[in-house]
Amino acid sequence: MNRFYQIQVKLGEFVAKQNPHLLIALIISLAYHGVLIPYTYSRTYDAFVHIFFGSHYAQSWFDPWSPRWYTGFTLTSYPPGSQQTIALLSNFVGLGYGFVIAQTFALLMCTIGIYRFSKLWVREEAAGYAALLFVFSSSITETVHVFGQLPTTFSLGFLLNAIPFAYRWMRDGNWSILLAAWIMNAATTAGHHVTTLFGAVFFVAPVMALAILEKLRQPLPDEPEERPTQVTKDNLKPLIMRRVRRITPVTARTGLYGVGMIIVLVIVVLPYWLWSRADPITQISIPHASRDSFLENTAAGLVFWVVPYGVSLLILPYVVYKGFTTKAWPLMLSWCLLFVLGTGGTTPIPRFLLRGAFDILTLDRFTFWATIILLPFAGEFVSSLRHGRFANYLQAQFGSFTWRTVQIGLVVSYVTASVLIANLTQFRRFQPPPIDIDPIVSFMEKDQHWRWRYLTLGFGDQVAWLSANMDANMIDGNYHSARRLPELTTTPVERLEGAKYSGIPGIGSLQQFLAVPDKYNLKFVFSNDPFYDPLLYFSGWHRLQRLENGIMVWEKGDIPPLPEVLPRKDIPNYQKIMWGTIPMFALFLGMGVMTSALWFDPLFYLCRFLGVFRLWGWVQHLWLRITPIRPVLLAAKYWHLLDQKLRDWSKLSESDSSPVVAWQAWWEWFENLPKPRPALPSAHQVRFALLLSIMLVSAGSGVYFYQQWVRDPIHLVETYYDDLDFRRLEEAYKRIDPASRPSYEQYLLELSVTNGLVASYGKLDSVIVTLIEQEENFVVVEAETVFVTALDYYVTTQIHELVKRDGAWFIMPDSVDVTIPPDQFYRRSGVDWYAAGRRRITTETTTFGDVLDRPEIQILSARLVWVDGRYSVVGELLNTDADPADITVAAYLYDEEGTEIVWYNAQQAMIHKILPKEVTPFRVDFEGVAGLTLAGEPAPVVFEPDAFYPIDLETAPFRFEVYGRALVTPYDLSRHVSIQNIAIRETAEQQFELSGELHNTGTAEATIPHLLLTYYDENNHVVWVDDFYIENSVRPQRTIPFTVQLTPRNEVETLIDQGDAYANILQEDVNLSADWLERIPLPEGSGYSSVRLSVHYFSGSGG
Amino acid sequence: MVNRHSGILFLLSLILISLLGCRTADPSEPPEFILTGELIVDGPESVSVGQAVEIIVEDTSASAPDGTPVFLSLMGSYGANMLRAEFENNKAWFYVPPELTTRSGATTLIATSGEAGGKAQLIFRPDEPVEPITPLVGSRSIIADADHWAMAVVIPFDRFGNPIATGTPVDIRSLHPGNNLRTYRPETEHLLVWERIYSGTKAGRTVIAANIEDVHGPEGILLEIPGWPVPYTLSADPPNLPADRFQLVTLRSSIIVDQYDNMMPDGTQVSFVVTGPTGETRILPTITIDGIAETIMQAPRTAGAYTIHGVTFGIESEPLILTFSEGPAIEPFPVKITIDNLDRELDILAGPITADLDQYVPDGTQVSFTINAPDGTSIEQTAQSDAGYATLPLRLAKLAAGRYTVTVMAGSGTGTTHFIVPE
Repeated sequence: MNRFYQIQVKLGEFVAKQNPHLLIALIISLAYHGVLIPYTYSRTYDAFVHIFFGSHYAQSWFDPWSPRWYTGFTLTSYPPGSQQTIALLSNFVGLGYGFVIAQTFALLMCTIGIYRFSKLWVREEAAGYAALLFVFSSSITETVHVFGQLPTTFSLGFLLNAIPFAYRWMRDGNWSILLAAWIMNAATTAGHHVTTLFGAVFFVAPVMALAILEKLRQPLPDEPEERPTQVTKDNLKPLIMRRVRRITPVTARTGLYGVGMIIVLVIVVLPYWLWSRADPITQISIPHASRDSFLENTAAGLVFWVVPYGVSLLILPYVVYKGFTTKAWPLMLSWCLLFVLGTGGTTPIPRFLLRGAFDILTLDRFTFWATIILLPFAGEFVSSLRHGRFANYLQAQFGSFTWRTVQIGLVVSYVTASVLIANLTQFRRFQPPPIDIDPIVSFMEKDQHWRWRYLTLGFGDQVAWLSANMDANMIDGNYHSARRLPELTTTPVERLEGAKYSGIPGIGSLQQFLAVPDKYNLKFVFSNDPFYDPLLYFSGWHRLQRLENGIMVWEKGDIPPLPEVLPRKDIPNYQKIMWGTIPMFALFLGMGVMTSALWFDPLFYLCRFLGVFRLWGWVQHLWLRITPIRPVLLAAKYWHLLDQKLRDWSKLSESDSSPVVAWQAWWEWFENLPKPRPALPSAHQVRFALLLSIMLVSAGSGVYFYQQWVRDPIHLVETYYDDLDFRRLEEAYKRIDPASRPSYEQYLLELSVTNGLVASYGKLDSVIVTLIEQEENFVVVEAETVFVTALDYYVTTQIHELVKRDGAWFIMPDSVDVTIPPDQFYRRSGVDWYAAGRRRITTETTTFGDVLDRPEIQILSARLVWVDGRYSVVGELLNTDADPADITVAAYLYDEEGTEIVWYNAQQAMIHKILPKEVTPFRVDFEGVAGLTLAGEPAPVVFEPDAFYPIDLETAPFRFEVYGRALVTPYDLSRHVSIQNIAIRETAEQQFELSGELHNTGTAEATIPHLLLTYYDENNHVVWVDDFYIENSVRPQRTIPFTVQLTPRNEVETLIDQGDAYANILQEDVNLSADWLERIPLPEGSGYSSVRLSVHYFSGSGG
Repeated sequence: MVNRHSGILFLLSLILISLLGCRTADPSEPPEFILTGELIVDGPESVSVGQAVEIIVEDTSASAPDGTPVFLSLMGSYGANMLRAEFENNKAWFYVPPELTTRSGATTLIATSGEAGGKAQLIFRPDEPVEPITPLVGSRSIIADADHWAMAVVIPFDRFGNPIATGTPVDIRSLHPGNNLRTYRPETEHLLVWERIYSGTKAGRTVIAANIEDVHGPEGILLEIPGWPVPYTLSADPPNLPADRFQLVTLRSSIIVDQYDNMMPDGTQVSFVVTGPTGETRILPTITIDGIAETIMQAPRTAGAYTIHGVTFGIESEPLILTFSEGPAIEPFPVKITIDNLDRELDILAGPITADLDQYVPDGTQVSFTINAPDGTSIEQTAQSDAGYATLPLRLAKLAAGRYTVTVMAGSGTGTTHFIVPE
């Protein structure tokens, strides 16, 4: 009991010695962030990436090569400290909670760090407030709960705690403190090298300046006492020497610390530096909104500038004033630089300062650091507002009520902003809803599916969580710096899986991977976004199954499995050992330094008890006896000589002395400015009312102008399309004329039958509304809408009539299709196929009896053509077999010496799944790397699904080969759409136009019809193949019209008339010259002999 | 786990290597005897796999002291094994255990001792074949025209997985559709036997089996499928309809067969190609079920005779002529004008528009409106009929003063009216 009481007393004494604000900050930080992080981390951007890295270290601590992303990458491309911490913790609490604990630990370190860092610049009380403010800082909240950045906070905690050690070393020259500073720098580097690198400039450099400036002003004890008033020619040199003598030791210590810090920076993550030198990041920069102009991209401005600063924007004038009028002006300069750099592309200054690094760095990091540097001054502001000069001013001029209101208002705003930001991902989801990964993991584990690569679509950052829980390899990844394939590194595509969101130049890397999946052993796609369904389908993929979690599994047949041994880029063993030991060792040492107050005294007494100090003294004595040179003594001797010299040079004549005169004349002038006198209580009320009025009038004006803008007819139509795009159907319905609109149920019904590529798989890209006719209460507008789909752009033009009723504009309802199908209930027979195989239930590999025979196919003709600046191989292929076939057509180009130049697969311009005796045309478009133009410059970063990147061939193709491969398939064989009323006419521009109607004779909707046109010459050889997607769906027993332009014959240049075609048929079954009624003769002027139309379609309901 | 301990293993290895490096040679040891000359390797020329073998190595120089080590390497196509023995009276006896003799083929025996060496060859004969004798068939589907063939391949193995001896006869039997049994007796050559299995003229499933005396195995399957079709006929139901672009005609083929009367398999693609009186074309794809291809065709908008062919690449059916009569409306219908002053609109209402039985024309029937303005210009617009009526609204503000004539058409039925817009 007595012992317990003693401990309690000691604890009380310990607590009493601490800053109360800091203690509260630590408790709140633990309670606030520690509770929130488990709920928010799964919705953040980066958390799962670090968890994935952690999972790798948990599996193979000393092997930094991971084959799971891209085609393999090395983890030495990112400092491992925080991720290895997750790996260590995952052994006890699992990966997810490992991340949570690491992040909470980082925030506690940062809270302590900001307190210690602030004490260098502001008073103790203000430093405590700074720690409190840090906990609710909107930038920290955003970084942790929205961005999920762990290394940033992890390393910042160590950096902030390293700086006071560095300052004390520079000021006092205590060697053990220098060691502590270096250890903390090492721990910082282990967490994130960039923090050490930029921290040296923005955090450490001001402290260095502070230490030197303090010494510059502080006379040395043995310094001559003469103080001259005026600087003359005679006393100039002594005065300079006097100051040089003051700062020489601190400058030397600063230099020593700096050199040591660089060495630490290099050694701790040496494998990283060696990797970055051997395998530099030579990739097209990923566009990041933090580099945009925040005036143009206001959303980016909100996320990367307004939110991080948050409420602290209100006190920026005070911060700047306080920063530049105190000893903290070096820190203020640093803040100013960070402030400017954090504005991204809003001004040209960041680009000018950062040069090439501008396109690599994410500039929000500068704003983040700026908000951290701002905190000591914000703490000073709180102190001043509570009982300082600002509090006095407010009370005197506006009264106590206003003063208290301002305090409460600021506190409530600050905390509310933090809470709102922490829950931002709840209000506005940045990630798809959480996906249950277990069915996917189970799918990849069974039937040896892990022998192929996979790809996810529409998973967001959860892709990293999936990878962390699975050993299978994927072609994509979530860490773009490690990308190695040129198809990825030469494009600004951050992730294939989110291709529709960020810049894909041209048809995009995704389309290339889907076109030639055999090149990457890519067999499975897990799709969580129907947007990509049309692209997958028309690239020859088929839906395998929908998993329990709603994810659709797409499969591509005929893909070779991964080789048993995958290539890897290995690093020497010493680097592996360094990577596995030094960063973690640095972190443990850093923790040791931070907790030295707890263990230093007991350790000291233990060492003394064990005689360690006596042993050390003996070693020192022995060393001094055996070494002839004593460098420390020698250095001290030379230093003493130099110091004496400087001291001698500092001497002034005794008459040259006068009282100290303040040199800041402006300060005296400022002090003499008339101060406002305290206002009367009645004036307090008036001024408060005035402030309140200004706020209310501003808010009212904003609301008024907003309503005026909303009521505009053009804006109404724009909003209507926006509502439709985001499926806000009730809002859209309210904009329809109440006098003539159908019931809401009828409106929904009419919308529901409008289906197709644009309506179901398109995303509204832009809408331009133009006024055509205007009457007083009636206007006609033209809405030109651009929809983007995974396949193509669609520009549509609609005419809308609007009427004004009771002062508000409404859209007249569109006329609806009133046609009815002829049959009320009808039946269609069909054929189903099923590949049962002959396999028993076994875990063994596929046996011969289970392998289905390849259907026999015959390539009827093939030729190499040059159209619109691109090489294409076009031709026709027949399935002569009795089974349906899944076709892959690959074409190879060779130069005159027989060297292969390039190969590519036919992608969208063919029917991949064909019936027995069915013919499909094919067109192989040889494409270059998406995003790379011929000049090697990156293409504009916009989504252009219809763009094409022709390949740049160094030598002209001399011959070509076409290979056709087939597998038996039971998928996607519906053929219920017929083409009727086909007519060909010549337009006024001497172009030929083909029109017709598609009629659905089946029982399922043809959601996206795909029309292929095969043009023939007089020998029935294919000249060219066109393909068109029809934007509207065809419901059963309904008809839709279509019109397409024929490619002019003079645009098709035949390069090689016939190539070598290889398929698996032994003897050709059909004669190409036979008449075939499906070939429709074309007019002579067209340049072609005939054309054939074939249609297949994607059905959203499957089949 | 290996990676976690790799650092420890690395350190232990370093310590071990250092300790070994500390060992020094003992100067008191006598110099080592090194045998030179030729060694004779004596043993059987051939044995069956799985049997133990005794090999004797003899020193021709007879100078090897007893206890001198001799090494015997067995170099086969699957790799090498090494045995060790010691000379005793200038001879060394090697016992090759059965587990080292499971691979058939030639094995080179190389004996070495010091600088002396000798070489011999030993043949391991394969054992008797074991089950299963599996016939592998490819292609697994061929056209049943007595011309196409598939290859049946059998690779018999002994109990150790070695291919059996060359020249071993294998019985292969194929039972073709129509109970047509064929037998073959090829012999193994180059490790396997193979036989061409020609198709018959009847489509169906052929079962292929193989055995070597009493050693049997599973069956192999070969599908004999129909070849390309021969011309067939078409029919339509109903045979006559109005050209109302609404009703449907079922087009059906006769049973489509190949030259040997084999019915086309289900799912074979057939297109019906339709040519209209004005040259417009239709392509109606479908598939065969029970040998018959069937699809539906929507009645055209234009009346007249339509020619229909069933087509599978170059193979065409006999043509079918289908005639569509005039429609959908035939009789004249009334047209009225109403004015909506509230919305400042003028509506032209046509109807009731009726078909041949005086019923409404089908909803959605296209109705065309031609409005002749007083200045001689005309406006042409279309609307859909809904419950027998079609309405065309016009903005009054866009109509100049004067007399307008309206002509409305739906199929061959028409209606006319006029209206006057005042000054």
